[in-house]
Amino acid sequence: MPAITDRAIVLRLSDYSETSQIATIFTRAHGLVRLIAKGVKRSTSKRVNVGLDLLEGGEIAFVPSKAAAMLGVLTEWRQLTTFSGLRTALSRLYAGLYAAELTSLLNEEYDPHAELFEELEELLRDLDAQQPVEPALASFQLALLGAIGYAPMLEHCIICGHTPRSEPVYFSARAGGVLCRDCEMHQIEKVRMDRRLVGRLAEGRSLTPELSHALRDVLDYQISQILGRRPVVAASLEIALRATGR
Amino acid sequence: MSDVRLTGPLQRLIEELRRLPGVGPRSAERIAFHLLKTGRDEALMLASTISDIKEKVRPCARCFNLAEAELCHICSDPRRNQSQVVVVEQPKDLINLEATGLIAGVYHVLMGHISPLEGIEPAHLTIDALVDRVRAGGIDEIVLATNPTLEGDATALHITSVLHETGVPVTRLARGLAPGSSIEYANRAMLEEAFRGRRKY
Ligand SMILES: [Zn+2]
Ligand SMILES: [Zn+2]
Repeated sequence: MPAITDRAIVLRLSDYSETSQIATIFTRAHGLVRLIAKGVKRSTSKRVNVGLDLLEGGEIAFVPSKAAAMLGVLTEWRQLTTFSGLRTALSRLYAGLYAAELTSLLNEEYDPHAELFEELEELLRDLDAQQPVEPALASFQLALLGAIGYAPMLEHCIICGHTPRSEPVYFSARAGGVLCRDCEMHQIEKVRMDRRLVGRLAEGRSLTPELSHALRDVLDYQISQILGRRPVVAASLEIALRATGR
Repeated sequence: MSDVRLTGPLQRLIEELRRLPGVGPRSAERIAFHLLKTGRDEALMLASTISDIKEKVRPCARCFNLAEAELCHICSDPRRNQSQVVVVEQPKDLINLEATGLIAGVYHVLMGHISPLEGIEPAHLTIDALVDRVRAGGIDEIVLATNPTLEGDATALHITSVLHETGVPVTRLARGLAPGSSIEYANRAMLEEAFRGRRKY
């Protein structure tokens, strides 16, 4: 089978043997792919110009797997960018890794989402350019949830359609959105959320840093509910954001 | 070859050898048959050497390099500059740096790097011991020689942040263009790193 070429971002690498790695890569036109990368750790390798690294963007050539749950083969990797600015602070670095973890957990292999690829690239570019972390990450998380069919309803109550006028306001992952005070009793699974966030989003106004954080809390909660567990990078990211700024 | 029934101990040896890095089924058989016909003393010497590395080699109490005593040969060498500590990910990196003959200081081996996606956190490395070493005093420079990978960078950033309050200067190995490479063929990442890391000439 001939190799396919595509644009790609490296999401995850694990050692397979002395000289090969298993790479989880998000491609623009082929979605998530899991590939065996042979010889990448040898400095003399001709096929791969430099060792693969996490969160690099580049051009890839690969032979897809013949069956589900099997590995394809990476035949070429041309590194184009490492988004090196995101490696200058732990908060940005972990935000990038968190996005990589979510992308690899919530996408199916060979199920392309070109628009999501662009969003991931944009997030990494924003982190590279030292933009504030949480607004950029929140907008990527919204795009990801939208791409996999879980776009949350955050502008008004998902049951009655009204903008909540009073506290308390809840969010339910199962219901897929905001619950107002009058509708919240219909759902057992829910968390409190900031009513001002709903108002801001309904008016289409930009978020303050505090509300960007509140939005990220809601999206993290929804993602953890979908996955049935908290993503592993979430805790490190939270510590870094607290220490080095959001 | 695999159809042939081998006797128990020989078959076991082949299986054990096959688990070694870089040893395939063919090589495992070749080594096993070589050991079978080799002299008894020579074979037992190999066995006792293997047992020695498990019983006598241990991490250095100060730097976590491989050692045969409480301290490794570098930490116990009075000619080494104890005020400069070069921080590496693994003993193999130390050996390669040591081979340059450039390093007058001593080392600290982290025993890995931070890898959140694989569940490796700072607490799994020897970072706490490094901080204790710096707090104990007598150190003027920490040279971070972690790999120039994302996880090596994460590890370096984490160490820099935990050492910040000690006030000890932290430096990092230069990165960018490899000697013998050319600008024409260098990729953007290498050129960016090289430009950012330029120095007075
Ligand atoms: Zn309602
Ligand atoms: Zn030592």
